[in-house]
Amino acid sequence: MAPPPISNSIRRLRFDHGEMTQQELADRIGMTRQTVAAIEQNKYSPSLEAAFRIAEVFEVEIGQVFQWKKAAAE
Amino acid sequence: MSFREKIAWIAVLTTLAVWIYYFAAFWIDVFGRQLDGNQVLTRFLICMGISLVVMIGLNIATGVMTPKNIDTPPDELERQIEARADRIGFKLLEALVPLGLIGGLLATDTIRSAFPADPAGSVALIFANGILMAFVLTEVVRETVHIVSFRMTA
Repeated sequence: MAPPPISNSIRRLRFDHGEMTQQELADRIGMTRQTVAAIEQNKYSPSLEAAFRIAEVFEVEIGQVFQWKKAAAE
Repeated sequence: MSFREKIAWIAVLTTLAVWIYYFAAFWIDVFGRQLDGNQVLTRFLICMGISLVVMIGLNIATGVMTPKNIDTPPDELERQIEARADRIGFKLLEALVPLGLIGGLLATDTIRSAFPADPAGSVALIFANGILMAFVLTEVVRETVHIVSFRMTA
């Protein structure tokens, strides 16, 4: 199965927020650590609500967390 | 490995271990023309009991090791995986039950002639166990879909 044409900056954002762990992020958005890892590795595309929650945790716009890979989508 | 994946592993391994033994013993009895209703019922109750005790015990042990996860509702990925497993399981059951019933109806005369001592009882036992086998197989497939889906996102 091809990965979704979306990339994300969660790893970098976690690093920028004091090396926040996947578990900490998971707890703050009400998900499991495994789901956060799947999102971060681009193996799972989260719902819009979850995407907004992640952006809210990092206090950035959603576009700074997730990026649409136009070329891959076409 | 997530809490729910561990639960799926427990369900698959326990179901396979217990019910492979049960159905192997049952079909050996059927093909050996030695079907004894009381013995089958006793074996069924023992297997069901073992299955329940082992599954509940292991699930509690897993929960105790990761107490935070017990009360946590499934997140969106887990709900998606659950829905996919249910959908596949339901489709399989939809196919297996009519197949089993049609196969059973076609084989009724053969079963009756194979067990002249108790033809009606034997037909009923084989029908019931055929349906039970369909349910067990569906459950194994459902839990296997969980495991495969979790592994694909790990």
